[in-house]
Amino acid sequence: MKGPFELLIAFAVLLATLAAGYALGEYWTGFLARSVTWIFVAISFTVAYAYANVPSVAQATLFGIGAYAALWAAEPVAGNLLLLLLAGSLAGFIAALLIGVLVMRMSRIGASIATIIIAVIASLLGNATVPLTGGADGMAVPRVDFHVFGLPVAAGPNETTLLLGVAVLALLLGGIWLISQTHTWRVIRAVQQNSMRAQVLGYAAVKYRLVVFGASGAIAGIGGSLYAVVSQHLTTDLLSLFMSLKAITWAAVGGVATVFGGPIGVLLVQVFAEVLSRWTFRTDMFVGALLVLVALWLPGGLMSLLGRLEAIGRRDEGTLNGVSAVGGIAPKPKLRKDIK
Amino acid sequence: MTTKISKRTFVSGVAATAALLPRFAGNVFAAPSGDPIVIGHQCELTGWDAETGYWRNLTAVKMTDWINANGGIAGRPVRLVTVDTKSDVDVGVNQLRYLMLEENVDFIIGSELSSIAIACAKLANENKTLYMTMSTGAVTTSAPNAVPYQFRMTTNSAAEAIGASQKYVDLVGDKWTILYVDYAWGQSERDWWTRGVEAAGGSVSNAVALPMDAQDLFPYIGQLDRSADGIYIPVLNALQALQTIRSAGLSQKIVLAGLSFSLFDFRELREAGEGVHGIELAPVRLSDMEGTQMPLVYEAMGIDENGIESSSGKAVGASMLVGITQTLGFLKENVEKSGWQTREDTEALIRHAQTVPTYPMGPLFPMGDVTLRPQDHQAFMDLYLLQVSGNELVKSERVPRDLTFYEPDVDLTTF
Repeated sequence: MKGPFELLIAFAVLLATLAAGYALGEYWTGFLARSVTWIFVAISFTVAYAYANVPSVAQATLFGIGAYAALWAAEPVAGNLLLLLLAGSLAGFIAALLIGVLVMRMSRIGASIATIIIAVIASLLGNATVPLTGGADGMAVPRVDFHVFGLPVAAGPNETTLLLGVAVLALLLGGIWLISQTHTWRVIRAVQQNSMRAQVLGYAAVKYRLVVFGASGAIAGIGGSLYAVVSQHLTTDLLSLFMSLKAITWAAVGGVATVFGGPIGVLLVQVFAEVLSRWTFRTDMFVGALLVLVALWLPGGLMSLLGRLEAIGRRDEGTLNGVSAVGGIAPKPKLRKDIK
Repeated sequence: MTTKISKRTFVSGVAATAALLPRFAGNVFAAPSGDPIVIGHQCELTGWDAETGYWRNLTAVKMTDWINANGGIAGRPVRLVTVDTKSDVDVGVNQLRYLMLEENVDFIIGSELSSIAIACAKLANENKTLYMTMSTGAVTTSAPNAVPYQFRMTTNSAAEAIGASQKYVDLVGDKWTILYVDYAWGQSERDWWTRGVEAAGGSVSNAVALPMDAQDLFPYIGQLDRSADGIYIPVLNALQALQTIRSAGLSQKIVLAGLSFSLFDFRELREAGEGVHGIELAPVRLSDMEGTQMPLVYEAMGIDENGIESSSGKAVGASMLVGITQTLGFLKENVEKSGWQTREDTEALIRHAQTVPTYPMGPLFPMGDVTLRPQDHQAFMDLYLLQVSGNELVKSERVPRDLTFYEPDVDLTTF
């Protein structure tokens, strides 16, 4: 996990989103409120891919499971949003653990294929259980009085749900950053980078990866439960492979190696496509082109620009030091191979 | 995509169209004037339902031009704003909000996909914007999805099954098997067709669920009852299903679910299509139609007498054409007769529309009289049983609209 600079950038993006939502009017408020819920699934993919070593193509399925958990729980918990978020995250966590048990010992390619199959099966199951899910026609979220800390929350794509989504997302990102400062996180990174070596050192690598993958499911589930409150109508499209591929696109554009790339990736792609849709209905073609450009020139996503800037800064600093010290060109810095 | 037109372009376009198309109904109208009535069109321009969206979009554009060339609505020009749902619920809902909040449309012609239509009708109802659904799933205008600000001027799966099943039991036989796509629309078609066949004295021996993403259809088609007289097929990939059924050696008579011939060009079926039946809102060839209105609609849309669009060479999705035309007809009739001026008057328009039992045949009701049921805001119209014969899609029978009625489960007249 990089330093606080990435976290600050992510916070700045969220603040800008909030400001834009309030300034641009009702339509954009709602648009951004929905987009913020998608950020969770992008982050969830990054956590699964970069920290659990599972290139999962079923993260939107976990998002959908979280959304349906919130729908089913809305009446029993009388619209208590904290309990709904808990229900969504728990459902996502458990579902991810079950998937994780299946895929954890597979190769990355094997795990990827397995999650594709799981996403397809989940979609088929969703369509075959219409009384539970509403199938492709969908099911309305019950009309209950949503509330958090005693304050009423109007469901739907509005300023309140935008603020709620941003607040939960900020807490999540802040929490992840705090965890990244701990010893446990270093173990997670060690397992991610070389699970065999971590195993030899005495760490239960598979368990660590399983818990992290479960956490990715919990994050997707939180996003799903927020989505249920924002959209008020769920369909089994949420569980589809197509939605997971969208999540991968968002994560790839923002930066698949860091959770802080999620907000930028989702907002850039969604706003880009939305603005473009006023001029052409071939938006997917342009989004695809954007993805190709990012893959070619920024394989680490937009967040990798920070790393490049840091590298340039260090080189300049090194050059200046070199000039002042010896009056010539600074030598190429030696890299320690054991530090990544 | 949104089609945005500047005021100058719009006015000059209306004037030009008025000059080009003055003779449709045999009258010359004054060019419409005043603030335009804005109609949003939530259409499947891309995605898996784009084939039907093509015909809805083309019809909406051409018939709006025609309306403007013939005096507009209540003397006011009509401006059409089209958005693309990408055949995706999330996008569709977002585009509906765009139409209501950014374009401030007066009326909305809705999605053909029940998943999008159900979610959007509720939002439109909350926004007090009239939503003219194009979905043909019976569930759209039934409890709990029926809402006061939603009308349907096209048919639905219940009316098709009730109206056509008796005819097909007589024509094909008593014993049926069903291959249906395993999601809400397919399940609804399965249930209504079973009900219709049983009411006609027949039976459904088995129904095979086809997963939405199934690529290899053989395992599912192998489960169909080979002793059945007929196979009813409500699936999205009807073209592939038909070809696979014939390849598997099943020679039973096949009936495609309602409006399936708008999902693909029937000529793509080739020899596998010979004898295949379908239920539509209109035949394709003008020679199969009665009345004088459809030739004029075809002319306005650039479609020849065989139902082939001149510019693209595509066979017309006639049911889509009729559905959109009747929807525009509903709006024109009720705006003019209810005295509608602004969106504030939409509730009065709805109450007026509930008192109009029949829309007589005319330029915007080109296939004949249409009955509107006030309880669920569902229209009933004649159905046409078509059959592929020698690389042509020909009319085999007409089902009068009186035979398509079924009991409503809601009453919106008291809202």
